[in-house]
Amino acid sequence: MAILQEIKGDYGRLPLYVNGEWVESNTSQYQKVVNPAFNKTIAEVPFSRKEEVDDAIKVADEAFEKWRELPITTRAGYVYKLKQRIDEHIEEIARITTQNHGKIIDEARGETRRLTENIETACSISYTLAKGEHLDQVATGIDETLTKEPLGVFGILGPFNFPSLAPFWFIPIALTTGCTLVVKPSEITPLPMQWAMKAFEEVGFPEGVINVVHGGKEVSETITKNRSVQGVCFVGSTPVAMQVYKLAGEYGKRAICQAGAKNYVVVDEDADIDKTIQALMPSFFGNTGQRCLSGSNLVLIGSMHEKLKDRFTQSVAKMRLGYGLDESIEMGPVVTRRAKERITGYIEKGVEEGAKLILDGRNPKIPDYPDGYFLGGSVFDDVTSDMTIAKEEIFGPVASIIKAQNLQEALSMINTKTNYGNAACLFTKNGKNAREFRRRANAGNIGINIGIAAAMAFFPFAGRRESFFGTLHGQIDCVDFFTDKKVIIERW
Amino acid sequence: MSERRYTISSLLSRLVEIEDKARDFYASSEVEGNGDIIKYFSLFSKEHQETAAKIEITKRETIVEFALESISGVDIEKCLNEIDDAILGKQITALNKSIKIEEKIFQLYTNVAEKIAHMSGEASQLLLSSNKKTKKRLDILRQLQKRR
Repeated sequence: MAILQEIKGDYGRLPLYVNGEWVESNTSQYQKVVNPAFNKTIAEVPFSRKEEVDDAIKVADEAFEKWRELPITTRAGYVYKLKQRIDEHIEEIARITTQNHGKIIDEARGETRRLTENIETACSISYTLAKGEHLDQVATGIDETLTKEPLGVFGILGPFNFPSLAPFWFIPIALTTGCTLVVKPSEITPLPMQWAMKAFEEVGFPEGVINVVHGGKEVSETITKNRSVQGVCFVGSTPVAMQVYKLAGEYGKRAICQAGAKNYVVVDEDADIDKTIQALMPSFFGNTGQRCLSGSNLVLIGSMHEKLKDRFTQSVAKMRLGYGLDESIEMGPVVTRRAKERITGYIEKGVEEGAKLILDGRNPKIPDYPDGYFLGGSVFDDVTSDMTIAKEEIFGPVASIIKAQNLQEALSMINTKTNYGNAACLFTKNGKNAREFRRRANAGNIGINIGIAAAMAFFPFAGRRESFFGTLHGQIDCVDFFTDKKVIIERW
Repeated sequence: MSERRYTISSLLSRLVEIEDKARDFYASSEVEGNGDIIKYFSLFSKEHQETAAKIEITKRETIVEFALESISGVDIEKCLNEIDDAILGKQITALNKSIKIEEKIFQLYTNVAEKIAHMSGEASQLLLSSNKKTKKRLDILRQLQKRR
């Protein structure tokens, strides 16, 4: 199948977006941005200097006073126009996502659709959830009112794996509720967010309402520590999420930290095998396994182990690997060489610890892309829940098959053998088991006959235990995150 | 049943190819007979062009990422070959060719619409509504055939 045209071959040195203008960073530190299918440099991302980040925050803080004064209808109007403009760039953003991240174009298109759903949701809830409450005559001649007020400047620290979507879990709601933003995309995959900024520019948001700086850990710390910043939204790995959360706490900031995962997918003895295998493929290998909702441990109950193991493995072996801009490709490369090495290391560890590697994806043959960071799907059998590959987040295309006698044993693994609690899925035809599972599995996102339990924009993106730090989650919960409640007791 | 697997984008791209083939067939066929056939062939060519454009947009904007399952149990290559055979057939009139093409498309879209409903409800609906047009085209073409 023909390869879709790239939007550009080289995006050059990425500028920052501050106070409504694209400005070149005055840093001397740049990092290469790579197309992982070719190991080819397609841009250079600056590591912003501290002064530049502080300047962006100052600009956002000044813009806040004016932005919050605009009627909510006007702010929502800007965001509604943003949706129209994003729609015009949607295919470009999807292709750039594939080019920069490596995910296949279907996944990139799915990601951009989610992005727009978040904008639509922000518009639709702004007149309802963001409004306050009033109680007349709480005492004789006294009324009491609750209003929600925007807090100020927030920092958005994006992940590499959903480079355009994840920042949009927060951006549209922050803007409609009256907050202003400094966004730092992932330094590995900065291009999709950079391109999405075109839409903000075209809408003509007031200067300083949204700003983009680039860089790594230091930039995140600068944002989090700055006195004018009211809170940060982070999506990424658990160790970094813990650091961000700790720092935010230390500096008295609000924080939403969506973190890593080790998700169990359980297949009951009576599950529909064909449908289950179809759903398991994107669960374990979608986004090349680099998503916090990916299946990782595949628990097969009783006789399902014999019924499903070989067919699943054959299906994995047949996956077509290659550059995601070819629409027929089923799995792209992993994001960096380092990621490939880390995942390969986990596969070696699995073998060392006695798991049976029944499909080895370490050396896939893809003649057209000899330099890409490709890994085929790997499948382990005879994994036990105490092995490293069953406990630690691999974040790659590896499935670990674990046998269980019954649902209770599977639930026990989910609840006691991992510290993560992002997602858990069950495939079954048994309603009682499904109910038991959704009530007892200690994870924030539950899938029943769904392999990727991804909450829509009008629900919170849940997660618990070491998969999430904070009290309010991404997406719809953000209305409360970006605002504070004020209670007014009045007597006239 | 074919074991060929499609991603949803590759599948929808193949449907665009089918629409393009049908469009080209109607645009380039030399039809003998009354003006009605010429008029309808021109109209049908435009309809297929419009459907192709709609499928392309739907593909780009409506894929649901949490259910990106590969699609099997449909064989678009076979359908494309059958349409090619119909177009190239020598002992058959353009009118009869058009009926064969529309029948193949109707059958294929019915099947595909069901398969992709959970991945893109919009694309599934588009194929079903496109099939309503296909059905109308078939009715017209069969009437024209009867009149000859």
